[in-house]
Amino acid sequence: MNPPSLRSCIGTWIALLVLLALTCGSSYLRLGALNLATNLAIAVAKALLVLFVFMRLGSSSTMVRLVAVIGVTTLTLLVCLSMTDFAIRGW
Amino acid sequence: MTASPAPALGIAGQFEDVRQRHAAATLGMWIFLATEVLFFGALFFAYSIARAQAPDAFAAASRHTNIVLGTANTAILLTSSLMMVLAVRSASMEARRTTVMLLVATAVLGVAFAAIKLTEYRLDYLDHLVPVLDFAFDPRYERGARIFFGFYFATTALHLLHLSIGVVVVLAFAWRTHRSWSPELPHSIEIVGLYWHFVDVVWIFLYPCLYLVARA
Repeated sequence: MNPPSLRSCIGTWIALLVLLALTCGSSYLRLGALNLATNLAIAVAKALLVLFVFMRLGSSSTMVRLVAVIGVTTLTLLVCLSMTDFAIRGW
Repeated sequence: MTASPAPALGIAGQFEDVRQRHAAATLGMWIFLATEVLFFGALFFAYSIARAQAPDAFAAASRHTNIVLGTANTAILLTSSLMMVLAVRSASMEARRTTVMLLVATAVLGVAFAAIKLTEYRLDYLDHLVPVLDFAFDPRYERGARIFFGFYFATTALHLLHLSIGVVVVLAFAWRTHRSWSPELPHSIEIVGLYWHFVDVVWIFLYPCLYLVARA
């Protein structure tokens, strides 16, 4: 597996810092529910940059990608099941 | 049945060759990281439920976190990940001296993060924001804010623990690389890098949940 190029490493780092500035700056604007959505979207974007460029998830073996998907899917499943409990309990 | 070929020198019997051993080690680290997703995921889920039940208290409590130190720490951690990926890169090109320097830089940034975090803890204590010790908050939001700071200290302390383990491992590999070169080092450093980047990803989600709840 070829290591990521110097350009893509530094480019990703700059993108991460720009996203950090955006998420921090946007939270000082009164956007209502959009504040939370923006922060979450930016966090997901930053995580994907780290996963795909720094951790090279895209060029990893199928087994590794499968494990990554299983991790996230299991968490989603457990969160959904737990949510149904909180949603119908009527607190 | 044909006899399996003799294993290559210095490789445990269960592996056919170096490539397979590396694939197994990488897979092992990713499986560990998947369990970590569930570990931190449970905390994030509990946080979301608590926040949905006390949105105003979480907003008020979040305004008491130190945004300057928190944001600076995020930038430091993102930069440490850049150093780590560059260390992996130079190790794969067998540039030994550069690898050692980049690994040390990664660890130094990790220590800087920890130092800032501990400074923050001290300021939080002086602001009476530590639950159990001496918590004092606006009585309207006291209960929810106590829960917020419970999450704040639990999640950041667990993250700090992961980071400290990372610093020790990164320094150990810097030392190993400095002492003598071996052909499996690039692979090992790559796997250490996976762990380091994952700890970074956890912080990427903690940062908006703790510092940016309601700044406007």
